[in-house]
Amino acid sequence: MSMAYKVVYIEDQDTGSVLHDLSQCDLEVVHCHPGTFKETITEVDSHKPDLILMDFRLMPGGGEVNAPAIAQYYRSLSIDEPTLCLPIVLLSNDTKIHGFYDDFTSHDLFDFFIIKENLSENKEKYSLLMKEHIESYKFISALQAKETDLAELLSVPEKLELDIDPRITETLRSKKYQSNVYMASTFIFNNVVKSIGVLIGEDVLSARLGISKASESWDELCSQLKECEYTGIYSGSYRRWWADGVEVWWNETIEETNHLRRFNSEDKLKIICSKLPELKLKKVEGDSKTKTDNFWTICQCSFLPVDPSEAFEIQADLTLMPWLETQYYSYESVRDHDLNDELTDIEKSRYKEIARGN
Amino acid sequence: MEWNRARYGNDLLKLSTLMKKYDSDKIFKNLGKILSVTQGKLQGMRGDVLTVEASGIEVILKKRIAGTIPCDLQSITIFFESKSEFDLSIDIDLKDRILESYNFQIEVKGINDAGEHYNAWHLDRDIRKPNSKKTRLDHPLYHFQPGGNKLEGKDIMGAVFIGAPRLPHPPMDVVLGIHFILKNFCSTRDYPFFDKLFTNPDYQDIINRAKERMFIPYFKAFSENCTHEDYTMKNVFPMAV
Repeated sequence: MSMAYKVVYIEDQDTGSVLHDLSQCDLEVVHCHPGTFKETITEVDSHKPDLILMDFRLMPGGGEVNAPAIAQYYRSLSIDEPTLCLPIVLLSNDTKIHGFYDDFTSHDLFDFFIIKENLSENKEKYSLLMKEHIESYKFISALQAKETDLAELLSVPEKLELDIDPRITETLRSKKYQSNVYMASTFIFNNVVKSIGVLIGEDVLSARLGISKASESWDELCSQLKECEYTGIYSGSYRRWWADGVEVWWNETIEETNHLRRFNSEDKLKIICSKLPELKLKKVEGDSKTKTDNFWTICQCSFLPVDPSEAFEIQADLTLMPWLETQYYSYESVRDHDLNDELTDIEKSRYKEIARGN
Repeated sequence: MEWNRARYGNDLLKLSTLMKKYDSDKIFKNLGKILSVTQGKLQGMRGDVLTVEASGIEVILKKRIAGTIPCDLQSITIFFESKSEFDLSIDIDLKDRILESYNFQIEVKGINDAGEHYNAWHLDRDIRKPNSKKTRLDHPLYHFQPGGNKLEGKDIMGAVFIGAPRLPHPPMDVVLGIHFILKNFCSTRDYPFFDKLFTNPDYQDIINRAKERMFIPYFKAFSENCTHEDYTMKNVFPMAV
């Protein structure tokens, strides 16, 4: 049986269970043992892959080939010939890969990374993400060939078009994004889909609605929000809702004129239940140190809901896109996981002051 | 110039850029996104009405502020929403261009060990029926007032809000609202970078254009030969008459 997509896996060590795991998920995976730089490229090209998967530490003894160099070659190639643009995924045993990955993504190299030991357990998730990258690259390439507006990739509901930060669509319409598949893909993946901002995931949705995901009718509540569920690229791997869409739903369906942010969980629960009495819902709870439950986002360590007024702000990367939201840790997370160093200076001193009093 | 749709939109974007530059403590949590959407909607519409609506602006102050009650607040959050609609077909020398949909609300939340504490202020436009000879009580046409529906349902202990007094104040749009918050809630001792913002010529131009739109017509009420029909001394400052 022929597989839908072909993945070339460049690995100088034992391929372990990687080939087996991914092959079980409807991917045709071909192992490529790296030789010299030229030999490696020639072999990869001979397989005509849809995606390249590579280990970070190819030839760790200081050999000729390493992952960033090969990735760089394919990224450069695609500048002149967009049809040669392929998703490139990094796979490694190295738990410190995050730092390297962040560095290399800033140099436009990898689409995402996987820690090898997590692959087996999450093979469906990662293979779906690979397939979505392959399909998105093809979709972007087709839109670019037709000179169609790349904002189409987001499938913004018509009702919300004016509520979405116009800088997102402006960016996608700019010349460099209209001619570079990787840039358009990674922009949407990292700055729209994965991060909390214009889109929110299930935990943040739960925090904003004040409703626990463990509620008996949580799925029914989510289906009430179907109209504002994200359906653009990467929505198969990441279930997301348009943040502004949730607010519109609150105003129009729940018929509450005051902003969602103004209410605590108990009030939101009462309001939603009075409008949708058939649903069995319960309010979401923060951690034990929470003094306020005007929840709006989640703690980046515990993933429990927090109110930004109370939680501790994490020092952000200066290149953060303006529509992305500030990230926070709860008091309990900072205390129990020693996260003080990651906070902004103001928050460090506020944390110390509160800790002294507690 | 200050009434040009594109100029107004550019002012919103420029203000957002300046705030990002000077707000080194990042007290504004979502201003860039909100002003960008406000500008997009303003620019996307046509006709004589300019709609400038920004809701959900959030400012979080986490440095201790002196003189608060209760005195041990660990953080103060300011929620600000503003809607100003202007009908450009109205002769600004005779009538108020600001439509009745005008909205300006500031809600303040403080947190300490005991929990949450609230206060709220709103700047209202007194709704007057056409040809009505007598205005209700002696409400100034535009007035600041404590309390309001933002406090409804909140657990307010030890304080009472009766909607009075109504303090005369000229109308403010979102630009002046942000300036108002900076000037009134954020001490430049705690947030020294805002001193630099206030002396930035682009910022000053933006604020001056906003004042031209919102303040100058209003203050005509105090001129000797006032011929304005809405901005009269009796309307804007009834106590003075």
